[in-house]
Amino acid sequence: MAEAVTTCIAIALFGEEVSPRFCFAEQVLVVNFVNGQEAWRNVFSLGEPWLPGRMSQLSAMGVRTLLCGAFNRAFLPCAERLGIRVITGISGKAEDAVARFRRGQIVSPRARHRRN
Amino acid sequence: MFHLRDMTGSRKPKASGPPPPEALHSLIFDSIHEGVFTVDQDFRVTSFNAEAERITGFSRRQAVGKKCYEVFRASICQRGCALRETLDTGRPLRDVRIDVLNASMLPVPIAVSTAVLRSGGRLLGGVEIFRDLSDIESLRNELKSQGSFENIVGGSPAMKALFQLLPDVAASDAPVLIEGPSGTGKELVASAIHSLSARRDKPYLRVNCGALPDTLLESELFGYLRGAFTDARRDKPGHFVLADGGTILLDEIGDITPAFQLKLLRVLQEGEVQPLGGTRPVKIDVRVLAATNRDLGAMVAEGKFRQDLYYRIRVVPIALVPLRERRGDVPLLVDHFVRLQALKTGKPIREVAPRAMAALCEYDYPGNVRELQNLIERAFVLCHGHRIELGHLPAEILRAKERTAPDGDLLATRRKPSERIVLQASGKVANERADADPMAQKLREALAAHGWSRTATARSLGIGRNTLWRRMREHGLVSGKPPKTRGTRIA
Repeated sequence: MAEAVTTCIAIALFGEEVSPRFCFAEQVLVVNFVNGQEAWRNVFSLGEPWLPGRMSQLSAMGVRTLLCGAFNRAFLPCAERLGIRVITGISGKAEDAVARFRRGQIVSPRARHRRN
Repeated sequence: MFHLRDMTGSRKPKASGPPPPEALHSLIFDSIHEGVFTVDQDFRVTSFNAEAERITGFSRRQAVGKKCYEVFRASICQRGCALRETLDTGRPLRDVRIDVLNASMLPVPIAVSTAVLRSGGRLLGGVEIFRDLSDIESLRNELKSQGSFENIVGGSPAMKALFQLLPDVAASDAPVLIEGPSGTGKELVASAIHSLSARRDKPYLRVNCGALPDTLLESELFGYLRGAFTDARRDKPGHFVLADGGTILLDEIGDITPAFQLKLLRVLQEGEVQPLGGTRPVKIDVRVLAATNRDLGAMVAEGKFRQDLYYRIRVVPIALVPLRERRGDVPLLVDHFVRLQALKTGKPIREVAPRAMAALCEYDYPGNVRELQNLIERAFVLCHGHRIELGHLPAEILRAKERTAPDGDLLATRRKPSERIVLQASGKVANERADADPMAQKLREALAAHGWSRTATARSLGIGRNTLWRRMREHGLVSGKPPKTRGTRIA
């Protein structure tokens, strides 16, 4: 029997929308996909607006991809060290972002570059 | 509200003559050296000027139509948006310091001001004006690494020792006595102690004890209740109560009267104040810092200052040295003030000519750092180039320069006071034996340069008239007439 493929993403929230800047978001929506299907989701509160602490919090939840509007680039190496891929430039309703991600319409800049 | 059009496109002006008002507005909008953008009531960007493009890294085309928070990604967008507050309350906000993430995802410090945008009484949205503070912040960081601490600049051993001491002093709650001549930065040190301490989010109040008579000082510090005296129409809390949880600086503490010294001692011993007209004392939790330009130890010895109060306020003594005793800091301070002044005035002055710098290093600064700051400010007024020259400095600096050897490095050839060449009243240069009182000599020179006007002299020295008067008295210069030159000429 084939092993299940699990993907855990986090979307920084600003109300119902995607947060314009991760470090000041108060909540995050974490969605877990198993074999491309949504298995569970939950909204978590984030702690202090201190990026390394927040990234550790996401890492402990098993998050491997973070979607948000913007992310201070000085902390990208920290995210990488924790195995979290950060995809920025996302805006609009958080629910739409989840749907677009599931359909494969949101990819990291690196993946986009490889496709080109 | 106006929407911007791209005026750099291929369209050529049809004919010479004044541009249409819409184009003129657009040109003005783009020539403003501050970022400006407007939003509608739904917080969508409706206009975006050239400076806003530069600061954010987003083009006008990318920004217009988007929600403002998608463009600015500011620290306050999600918690306490300034523009939203202005639209909700109708009140403009000024100089709110925040940072935004630019298009390259790098933080940019800015100061924003907001206002409501109306047309004929109809609410259109809001306008935000913002200034790039990157230069100021980078200067601050640079100074941090180059010998400055909490706005105190210096790389001399004395200042380094102070920088090392301050965090420990701040961490404790002990009373601190900051001693040093006027203009040495006593208030900056006090402010640094407060801002580094656990009380930093609580009030920091400064009271100039020397400027107020006893009765007024008592009501200022301890407060009063309604009816305590004829004009007391309502209760007024004193500074000790207002500073509750925070820090209070008792400046010029050496100037308070013996009667008030006793009252202050009781407050410090008991940790409570009794407002004028009150019967019940009020508990206070205030850290007390005191500052003076007097020698309190000598005053205690002379019986002019209470010994018990002296030891109560002097748990941690900090002595600041005059600038002439840390001349090595002058170039650092000059550089600091030139940059600050350039930012403040917008003048493209970046440096000081070597001869002018040498003269600045040679001068004795009776008004200390404050005097140096004033000298740079004055030079900025006179300088129209990129560099401050010797001619932009006042006469007393030039005289000090002439006193030194004419050749070689002025700092290296600094003569001992006994060997100085002093410019006499006749304008000739003559060798003079050491003046018994160099400070009196400095004061005399400064007074003479300003026709013995105390106001002008005090201003040039960067000290107050009262301080000047006190120094004149201390150095026997209050005869009412300009004293004769005391030097003995050696032919």
